[in-house]
Amino acid sequence: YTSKRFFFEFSPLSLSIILRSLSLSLCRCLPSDLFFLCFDMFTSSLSLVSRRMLAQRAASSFSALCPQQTALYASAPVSSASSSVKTSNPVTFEVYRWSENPDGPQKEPTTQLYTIDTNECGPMMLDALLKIKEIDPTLTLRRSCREGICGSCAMNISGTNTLACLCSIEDAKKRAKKGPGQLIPSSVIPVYPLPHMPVVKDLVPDLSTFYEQHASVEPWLQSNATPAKEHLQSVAQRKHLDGLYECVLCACCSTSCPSYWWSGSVVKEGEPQYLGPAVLLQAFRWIVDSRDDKTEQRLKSLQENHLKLYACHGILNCSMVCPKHLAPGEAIAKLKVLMDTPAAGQKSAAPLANATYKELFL
Amino acid sequence: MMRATTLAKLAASASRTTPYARTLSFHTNTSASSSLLASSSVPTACTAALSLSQQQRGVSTSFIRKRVNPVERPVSPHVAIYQFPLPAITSITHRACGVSLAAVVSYASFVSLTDSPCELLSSIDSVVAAGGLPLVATKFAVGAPLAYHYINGLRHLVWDTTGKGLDLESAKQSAIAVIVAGGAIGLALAFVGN
Repeated sequence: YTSKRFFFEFSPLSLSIILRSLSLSLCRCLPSDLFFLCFDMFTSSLSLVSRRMLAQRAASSFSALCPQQTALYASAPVSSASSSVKTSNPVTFEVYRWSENPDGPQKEPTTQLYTIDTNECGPMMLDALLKIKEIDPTLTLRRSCREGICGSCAMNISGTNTLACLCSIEDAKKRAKKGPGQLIPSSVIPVYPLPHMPVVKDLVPDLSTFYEQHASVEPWLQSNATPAKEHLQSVAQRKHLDGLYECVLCACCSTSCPSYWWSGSVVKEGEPQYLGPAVLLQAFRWIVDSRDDKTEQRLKSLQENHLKLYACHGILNCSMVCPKHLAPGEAIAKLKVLMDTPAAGQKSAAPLANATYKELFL
Repeated sequence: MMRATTLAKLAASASRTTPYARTLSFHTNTSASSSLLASSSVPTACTAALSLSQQQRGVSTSFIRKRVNPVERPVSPHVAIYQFPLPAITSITHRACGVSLAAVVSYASFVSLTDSPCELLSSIDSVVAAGGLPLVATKFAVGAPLAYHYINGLRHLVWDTTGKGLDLESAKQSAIAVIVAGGAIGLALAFVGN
């Protein structure tokens, strides 16, 4: 994967934008911004910013450029009494578009700008995207429950992975304005698919590798006992599962992890790969379940190669981004601590590892 | 019945790779040489495992995920569009400081062992003699990465050995603390001493 496939090209505007962004960011006088500025400057987001700046200027006169769009709103049935006092709140979205070409070579992905009146739709980003589908029905996205429990509508909105049904338009606008992620704040809300995933179409990523990684940790109860009724569990043992079982497998965390980008999401056959925070959280969920009897095998399988667990370097993008407010980073750290115990094949346990093991299993 | 056979399979497999673990290795990238896109293809190992289990259950095996038309798909943009939060910034800075420290140490060691250590020492002396801003800047440029990397390293040590301090609030607070402390000690190293 090289920059050849980046559809952002450097534009002559980028230099002026660098200077503007320098002055803007220095005014904030925060060391973290400076670090990020240096980091971001060396990516090809410069041209992206120039496109977005142009989009921002265009958005104000967008309705003039696209009379068809405004015509769609004018034709919505509205009573004459209220139409005069009806206010509109137009918001512009920049949405990633790509579809495969069934015959012949594939074309490059692009972004498409849409302006909609957010007073005409619900408050969440999913409502906005479905409103955009009224203008352009070819925009493709996954969605189902519209209440943040199925995990289908996971995508990257204003630079952060969330569920579209849980991300309000106002929140997305604020994040897009604040920056410094887009180098220059903008009122255009960028909507992209989950990062570094193969794209099926538009905002739909190919999650098959993710699902296979999940299957590989054997996420089901493996118990030696066959009780007549339930597998019994104390209240304290059940409490260990809190914060683990609620995962909806939306893949927001895994696709936010740079380590997963480089060694987990797009993998060659037979090569070791990083499982990702979501799958490791689930692996931890089954290791910590008192009813499960395959703890040793589960722990040992994570030591199979140097990447399965240990490609995690504590970047903690996963915990920052989880829409269910879980902490995969914490679970992975506990997994690493448990690797130091006799259950995982070590001869003796470090004292702190022993403490964690006792807290979790005894 | 199904569960018993699965358990038996698990018990029988002495090696660490289970039948399901092998499904990891099948996501092929067919045109490897010039392909810059991820290509989807038929997952043969997974198909075999699935059909075996489905045969046991007497389910029709025709409805298995088959990608008959492998298409070269683009990879969605990542670094260019992602808004990295503060803990991620501290993490990449930790790596950058580590690389620069290693480079400086390697260079100094190489020069001391081979070419002419006197040249390196004399250039250091000239910077020291010059004094003022160049000296402070150089000392900060060497001392700040060292201080920051060291303190962030302690933060990682706490995470790795105790598994505590990884919830969101603690992570953000410790990130700010590390940046402030690293910067402060770097400044101290820059101004104090000669």
